[in-house]
Amino acid sequence: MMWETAILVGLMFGGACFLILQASFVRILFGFILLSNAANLFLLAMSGRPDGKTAPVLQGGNGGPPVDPLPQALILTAIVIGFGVIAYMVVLLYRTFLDQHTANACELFDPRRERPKEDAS
Amino acid sequence: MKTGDSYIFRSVASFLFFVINVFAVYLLLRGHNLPGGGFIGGLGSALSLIMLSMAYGVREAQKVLRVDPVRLATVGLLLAVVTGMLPLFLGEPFLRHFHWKFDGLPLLGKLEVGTPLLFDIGIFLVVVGVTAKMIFVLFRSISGLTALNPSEWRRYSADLEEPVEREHSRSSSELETEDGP
Amino acid sequence: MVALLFTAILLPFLLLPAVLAVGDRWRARTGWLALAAPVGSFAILLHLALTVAEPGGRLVVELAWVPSLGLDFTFMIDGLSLFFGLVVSGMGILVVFYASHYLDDHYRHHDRFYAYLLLFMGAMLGTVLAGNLLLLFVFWELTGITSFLLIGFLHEKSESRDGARMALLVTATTGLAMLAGIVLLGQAAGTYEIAALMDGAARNASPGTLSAAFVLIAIGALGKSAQFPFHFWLPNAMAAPTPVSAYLHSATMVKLGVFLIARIFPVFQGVELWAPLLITICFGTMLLAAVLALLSQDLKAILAFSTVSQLGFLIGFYGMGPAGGVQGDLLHIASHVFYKGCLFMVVGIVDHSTGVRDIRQLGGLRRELPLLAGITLVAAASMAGLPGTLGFISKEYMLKDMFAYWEGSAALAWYPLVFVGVASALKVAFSARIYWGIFGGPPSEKALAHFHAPGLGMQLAPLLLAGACLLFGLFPGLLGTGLAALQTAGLHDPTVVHYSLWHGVTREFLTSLLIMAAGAVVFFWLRRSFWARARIPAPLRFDAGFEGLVTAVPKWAKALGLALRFDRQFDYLAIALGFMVLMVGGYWWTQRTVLWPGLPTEADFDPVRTLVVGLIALAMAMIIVMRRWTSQLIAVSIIGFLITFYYVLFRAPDLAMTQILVESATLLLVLLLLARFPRSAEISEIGWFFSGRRQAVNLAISAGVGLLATLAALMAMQHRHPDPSGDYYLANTVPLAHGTNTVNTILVDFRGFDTLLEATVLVIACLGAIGLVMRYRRTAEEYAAGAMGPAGYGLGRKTEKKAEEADQ
Repeated sequence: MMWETAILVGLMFGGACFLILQASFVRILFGFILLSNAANLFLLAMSGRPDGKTAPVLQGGNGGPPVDPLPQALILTAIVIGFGVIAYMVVLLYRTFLDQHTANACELFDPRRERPKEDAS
Repeated sequence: MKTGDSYIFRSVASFLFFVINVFAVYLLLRGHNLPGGGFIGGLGSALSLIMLSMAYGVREAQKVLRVDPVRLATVGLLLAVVTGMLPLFLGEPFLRHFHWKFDGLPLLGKLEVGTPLLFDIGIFLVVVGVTAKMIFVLFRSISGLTALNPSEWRRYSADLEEPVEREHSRSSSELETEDGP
Repeated sequence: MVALLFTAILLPFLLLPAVLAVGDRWRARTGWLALAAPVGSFAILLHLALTVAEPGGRLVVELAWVPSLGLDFTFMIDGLSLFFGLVVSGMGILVVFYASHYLDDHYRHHDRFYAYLLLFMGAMLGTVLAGNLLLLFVFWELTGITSFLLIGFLHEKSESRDGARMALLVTATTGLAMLAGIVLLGQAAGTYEIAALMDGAARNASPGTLSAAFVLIAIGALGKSAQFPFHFWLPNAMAAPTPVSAYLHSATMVKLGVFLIARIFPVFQGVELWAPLLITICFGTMLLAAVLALLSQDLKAILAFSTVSQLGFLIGFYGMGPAGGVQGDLLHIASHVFYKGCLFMVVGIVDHSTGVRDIRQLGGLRRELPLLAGITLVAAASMAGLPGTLGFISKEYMLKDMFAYWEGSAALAWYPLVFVGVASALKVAFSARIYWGIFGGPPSEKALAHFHAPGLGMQLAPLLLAGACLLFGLFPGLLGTGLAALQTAGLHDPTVVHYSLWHGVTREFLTSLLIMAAGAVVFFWLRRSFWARARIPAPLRFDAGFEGLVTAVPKWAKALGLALRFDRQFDYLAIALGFMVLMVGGYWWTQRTVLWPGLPTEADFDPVRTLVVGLIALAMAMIIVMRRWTSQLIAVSIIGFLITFYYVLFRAPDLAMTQILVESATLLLVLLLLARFPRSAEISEIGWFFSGRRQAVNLAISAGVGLLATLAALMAMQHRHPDPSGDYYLANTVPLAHGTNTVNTILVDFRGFDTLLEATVLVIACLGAIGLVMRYRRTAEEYAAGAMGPAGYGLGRKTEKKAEEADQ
C-alpha cells in the first residue's frame, strides 16, 4: 500500500476536475494538463512499491529486482499523446479567441453579447 | 515570433542547437538498451527547434529544417508502417522484428542492430515533425505571419478552395523574399 | 492465365496515374488514353472466354496475399463472372469513347473524371470476378464510393451533391446489412470461398441462420439495384454526367444486385423465403417504377424509373427460378444493357445539342437529327418489345417462363404474370412517348433555340448498341450460341435452348400482341388527356421523405442540445460529474465493509514521496487560490516538474526524461499563447467569475471525484494481479527483443502496434491544428496590430502602450 501515491492521485484528479468546471477556457486547458498527469500517476500506482527495486533496464544487474515495466511503457505513450492533445487544445483556444474575441464560456454563451460577425471562411 | 534581441541568447542557441540534436540522436540510438528512444529523442530535437525559433525567429528555424515538418512526420509514419509490414511478406506476423549481430567490425567492434531501430527512427521523425509543425504554425500565426508559407498553400487546400489565409498587409516584393521550405 | 486475369482486373488501376498526370494538359483527349483500359480488359476477358471457359466449367485462381492473416486474393472464372466482366469492359469501351466526345473542353477536371471512371471499372471487374465473399464485398463498396464521386462530379450543383449523398447513404447502409449477412453465412458455412459455398458448404447450416443471412444479403442487393423501398436513389443519381448514367446507372453498377442474386442462387435455393421475398418485392417494384416512369417529365428520370422497373424484373426472375436452374437470364440482361445504354446515350446527345431535357419542351427533331431518330426508334422498339428487335425475343422467353410459373403449384403463381404484363404495357406506352416526345410532332422552338448538331463520333456508340439490338433481334441464334458457352454450373439449366425469332402463334405471342395493343391505347389516351400536367404524387415521393429525414436529424440534435444546455459545459459537466460521484460513491458506501482499505499506518508512507506529494498539494492550492493566468501556469508547471521527480522515485528514467521534455514544451507553448492574449481578455474575465456558492459546489464535486480516485487507486493496489504480465516482458526482453531497456522493447517490439497507432494519433492532432489555424482569415488592420490585438504581457507591451497613448 502506498497511501501517499493514492492521495496524490486523488489530489490531481480533484484539482483537474475543479479547473475543468470553470468557465475560463485557459483554466480548462490547465485542468486538462493536470488531468493527463493524474491519469499517468494512476497507472504508475499499479506498478507496485518501488522500494528496493531497480529501473527496468537490465544492465549491470546490481541491487534487487526490476520494477514492473508495463505501466511505464503505457505511461510513456500516454504522456506523448497527452502532449499532442494539449498542443491541439492550445491551438483550439487560440482560434476560439480569434473568432469570438473572448476566452470565457460564460461570456461566449451570454445571450446579450454582440457576436463578432461571422467570417465567410 | 519576433526575433529576440539578446545577442548572448542567439550565439548560445546556435551552439546548443547542435549539441542538443547530437544528444537527441544519441538517445535515439541507445534507446533499445539504455533509457532513451524515439519519443525522448524526438521531443529533444523538437525542443531545440523551439529554442531556435525563439532566438532567431520562426522563419529562420524553418529554413534550418528545410522541409515541411509534416513531410517528416509522414515519412516517419510510413517508415514505421513499412517496417511493420515487411514481415507479412515473409509469412511472419505484423510488426515482427529481426536482429543481426556483427562481430569484429572496424572501430565499433561488436554491434547488434535490428529492425526495431528503424521503427524507432520512424517514431522519432513523427514526434519531431508533429511538434515542430504545431509550434511553427502557432508561432507564425501569433507573430502576424500567415500560418503557412506561401509555398505550402496549395499543398494544404483543394483546387477549388480559396487558399486559406492570404497576405493583406505586405507587398508582393516582401512575399517573394519569404522563400520557405 | 493467372497473369492474364490479374492484368484484366488491374489494368484500370494501373492506368490511373497516367490519366491523372496528363488530364490537365490533354483535357478532353484524356479519354483516348483511358480507352486503353476497357479495350485491354475486354480483349483479355474475351480471350479467356474463348480459351479457358467451357459450359458449366469453373476456374478458381488464388494468390496468397497475407498468409498469416488468412487473407487471399481469390478470383473465380465461370460463365456468370465472364458474362458480367464482358458487359462491364465492353460497355466501358463504348462509354469512355462516348464520354471523350460528350465531355468536351467546356467541362473541367477531365483527369478526375476518367480516374473515377477507371477506378469504378476496376472495382466492378473485381466484384464480378471475386471468388471470395469478403473480397467481393470490398470491391462492392468501392463501386459505391466511386459512384458517389461520379454522381457528385458536377459538385457545384446542389442536386449533384444531394443525389450523391443519397446514393452513398442508401447503398452503403444496405451494404452494411449485406456484410452482416456475408459474415453470418461465412460463420455458418465455415468458409467465405464462393466456389465452396456453391458446392454446398452451407448445407448443414440451420435454416434460421440461412434465412437471416439470405435476407441480409438480399437487402444489400436490393439497395444496390434500387428496388423498393430503396428505389428512390436511382432517379436522383441522374444528376451525374450522362456517360456516367449510361454506364453506372443502367448498364453495370445497378446490375450488381442482379449479379449477386445470381451468384448466391445455388447457395440459398433451398431457403423458403427465396421465392416469396424476391417475387413480391421485385415484381411490385417493376410495376411501381413503370407507373412512376409514366408520370415523369425529365427524359433521364423516365429512363431511370424504367431501369428500376427492368431491374425489378431481372431480380424477380431469379426468384421464380426452379430447382433445376434458370434459363435466359443472361439474354434479358444483355437485351437491357443494349437498349438502355443506347437510350441514355441518346438522351445525352439530345441534351448536349439542345440543352433541354424536359420531354414536354422537345419535339420535331427528326429533321435535325435523322440518324439519332433511327437509333432511338430501334432502341425504343427494343424496350417496348416490338418484333424484329432483341427486346421482342427477350419478352417472348420471359412470358414463357411466367406461364410456366403460373402452371406450377407455387403460392402467388398468378402474381408475376399479372404484374409483368401490366408493367410491360406501360413500358410500351413510355417507350413510344420517348420517341414521339423527342422526334415527333411539330418542331419545338425552345429546343431549336440553341441547337447545334452533334458529331458522328458521339453517335457512334449508341449506333453500335442499336445495331446490336437489331442484329440479335433478327438473328437471335448468334447471341444464343455465345450465351450457351457462358453457362454456369449450379445456376443454369444445362439443357441448351436455341433462340429463334418465330415460334408460331403461341399464347406468348398472343399475350405479346395484347400487351402492345394495351400499351398503344394507354399512349394515345394519355397523350390526349393529362400527360403534359402529370407529376408524381407526394405520397410516392420517397426521395423527398428521405431528404427530409437526412436534414431533420441534425436539426433535432441541435434542438436537443439547446434544450439540455450542452453548450454550457460547466453546467452539464457539473451535473454529470456530480451524478457520477453520487452513484459510485453511494455504491461504495453500501459495500463499505468489503471495500474499506483500512486506516493507514506509518509504514504506508514513504518519507521522500510524501514530501513530494506535499509540495504538489501546495502548488495545487496555489492554482485554486491564484487568479492570474501566468501565476497559475507557473503552478501547473511546478506540478509537472515535481511529477518528473516522482517518476524518478518510481525508478522510471524513461518516463522522467519524457515528462521533463513534454513539460518544457507545454510550458513554452502555453506561455507563448498567453503572452499574446490582450490584457482585456483576462481583465474582462473578472466580471464572469462564479459566485462563492457556485465555487463551493464545484469544490465539493471535485473533492468527491478526488476521494473516489484515491479509493480506486487504493483498491487497485490492494488487488494486484499475482502474476503481472510485466514479468513476462522482463524475462523475455533480452532473449526475444534483444534489448535491455524493457520499457523501450515493450514500446517498439512487444506492443509496437499501440505505438504505431499513437504515432497516427499525433499526426492527426497535428493536421487538425494546422486546419484550425490556416482557415482563419484576417484583415489588413489585424495584421498590422498582430493577430490578437495589442498584447498584454512581455513581447507586445510596446504596442499596447502605444495603443493606450493613442486612446488618451
